[in-house]
Amino acid sequence: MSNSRRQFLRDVFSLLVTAEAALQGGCKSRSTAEEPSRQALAPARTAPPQPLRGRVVLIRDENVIDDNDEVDSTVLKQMLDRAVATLGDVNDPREVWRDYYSPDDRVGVKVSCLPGPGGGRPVCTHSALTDLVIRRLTDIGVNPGNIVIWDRSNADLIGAGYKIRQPGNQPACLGCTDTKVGYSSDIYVSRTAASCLARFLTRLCTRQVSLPVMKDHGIVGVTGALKTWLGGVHNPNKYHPSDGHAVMIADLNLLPEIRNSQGLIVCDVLNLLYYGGPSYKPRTTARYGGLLVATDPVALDRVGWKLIDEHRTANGLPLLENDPNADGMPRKPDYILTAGDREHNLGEAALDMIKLIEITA
Amino acid sequence: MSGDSLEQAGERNKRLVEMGKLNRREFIASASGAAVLAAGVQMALAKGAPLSNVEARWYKKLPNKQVKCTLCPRHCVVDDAERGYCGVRENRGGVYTTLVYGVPCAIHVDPIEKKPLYHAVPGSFAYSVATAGCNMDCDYCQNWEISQARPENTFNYSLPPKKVISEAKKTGCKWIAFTYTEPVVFAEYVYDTAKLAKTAGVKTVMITNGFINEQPMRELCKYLTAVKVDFKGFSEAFYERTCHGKLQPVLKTLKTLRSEGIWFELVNLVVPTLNDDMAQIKALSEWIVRNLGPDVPVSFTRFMPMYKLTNLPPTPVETLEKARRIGLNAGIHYAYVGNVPGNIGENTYCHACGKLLVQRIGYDVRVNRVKNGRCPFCGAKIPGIWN
Repeated sequence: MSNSRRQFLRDVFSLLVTAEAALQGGCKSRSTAEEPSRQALAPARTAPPQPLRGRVVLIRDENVIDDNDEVDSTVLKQMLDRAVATLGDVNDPREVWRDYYSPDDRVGVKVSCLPGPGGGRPVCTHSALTDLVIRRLTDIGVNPGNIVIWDRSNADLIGAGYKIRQPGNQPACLGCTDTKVGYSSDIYVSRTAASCLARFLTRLCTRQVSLPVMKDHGIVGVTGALKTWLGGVHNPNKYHPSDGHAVMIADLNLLPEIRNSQGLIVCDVLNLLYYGGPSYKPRTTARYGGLLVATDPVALDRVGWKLIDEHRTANGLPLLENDPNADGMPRKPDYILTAGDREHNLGEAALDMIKLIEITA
Repeated sequence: MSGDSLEQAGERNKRLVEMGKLNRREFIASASGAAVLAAGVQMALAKGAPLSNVEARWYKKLPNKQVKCTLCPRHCVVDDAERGYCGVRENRGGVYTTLVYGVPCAIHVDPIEKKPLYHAVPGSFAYSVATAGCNMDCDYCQNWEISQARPENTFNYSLPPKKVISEAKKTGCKWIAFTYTEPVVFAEYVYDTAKLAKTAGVKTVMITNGFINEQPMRELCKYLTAVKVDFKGFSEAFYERTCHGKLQPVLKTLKTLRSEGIWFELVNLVVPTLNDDMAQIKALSEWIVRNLGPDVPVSFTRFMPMYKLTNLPPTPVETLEKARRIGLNAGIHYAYVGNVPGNIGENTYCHACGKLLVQRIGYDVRVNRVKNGRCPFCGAKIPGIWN
């Protein structure tokens, strides 16, 4: 057992012991002595290589998924490898993985599972994709025991087809609300955003792979790579303002705990929910057979927004910016534009500046 | 919210002792009785209750399994499997559900002065309950650990309405207070508990931000004894930027309370540089006198650095005293200074003859001369609930 893995397990189990105290008052503030600093538990986190600003790969293969939502893992593996290699402009995708992750890392694999328990598995991150990502991480030397698949709650994960696994020799799979995990006791503030962060972001992991899904969203317009981190805050409801202007989502992504830990983003667009989201609506979900791969979350979301609008237009529906919610509030996902503005500078939001590389198998 | 946990109150009082604002004897007097009671209350109840699955009382069903909440002015449109802004009401397949009915996360026995209510049986105690959740997000919230949490992240007790009443009686409380977080978000629980309490002869008070729609407020008034409104500031910008709410609906609530004839008091937490403009306080005071009458007590209370606002100093006492003077000059009969134990602005003076009626130090009532709701010196009727 490597030192780092032993440390990881020790951290998780030490949280088990302190979980009750931690949850006593929600994310109650506790003394520094009770909660060791991140530096004490995790290697110092340095920023990953600069994101490939504005570079997005969209790969599609109609054979990757069938009408019963069964995924062909062989096809998906080819898609993933080809997309990642293309993103890095290399032949071997492992080179790109090595750029963003090292064998010493403790890697969080952030999946998106919210509508799973309500029968929404087709618009959750498919577990077949998660398995392939984990395989690539282990290929470059990351210890399986140093990997954890996570989202907001165990119920969400189970509903999306994941099996809850405690830390051990295999990748763990746990929700933030699991008593063994929980949230930071301190509040993290970034402009208008203020949240306790999942300990996956503050203590347990040194890097994240983000596997969001791309969907229409009834309040903020689009949910994708930027919004996926709401699965790692204690108060996601506060990020859904009734006026539709979700600037807080952009502000949240400024936090170093998110910005500096995020490496590759592999967005599951095997199905594309273009209307009626975020819960699953079979009649307005296209079997799309795609992956969006990038390191720039803003550019990825801007492309996803465009895909959703294209599907809406093709189906006789208004563009997002012309389709307010049931209370008449706008749903244009302008938080994506905010994330790309000069002040936030989280990525490229201008479509004409985004280099979209489309691959169709 | 103005109500704070016993621990927080204790910490605050310790700070005041350190600052020389409260002597040791006063500190012990204000905290120890409530602490003993509260410890007994919590030990008697089982923790770890599951969340409730009770259909909400105030919402509309929309197509595609969406719902629209009609409880508060946010009017959240909520998709299936999502929650409203408050975080405690969830759309489950097109049925809007409260997750916190009968599952409070905080239970304490507090002096009524802690709420603060100054004209509501001074010296009495309130069996105080709160669930997780709030429909605002004030940057200075002193209970943010529970008000901004989702209920699955707090430890909850199982305490159905009947049990609230029996526990209140058992602990000798005249009041049940819905407090600490925002009772609007657990309005169904408030409604049912207040209804039973009225029959059982226990008074109820809701400590609220007043950010609630008219219809549910009127329904709650049928059974509540009193309401205390945390008025954030007489500025739409302050409500929007600092509290993530809106001013106009709160003003409407105050008028609703007035028209219902229910007893209510106001608190205005004065935050340095953000809502401490004296012209604004004057405008607020004049609005109160004009629209609610001079008899609504108003407390100008002290801000302490908290939550997202840790960069500001506590409100200078002079600012609060000035605000109180402005309130009195505007015609408010009972303007107070709050969160400054020992300040004369905590006391109640007869609006007619000016004599001292109720002397307070912090939460401790030292003297109460009000007799049958009247001033013993001049016979003036003192507004409030005195028995």
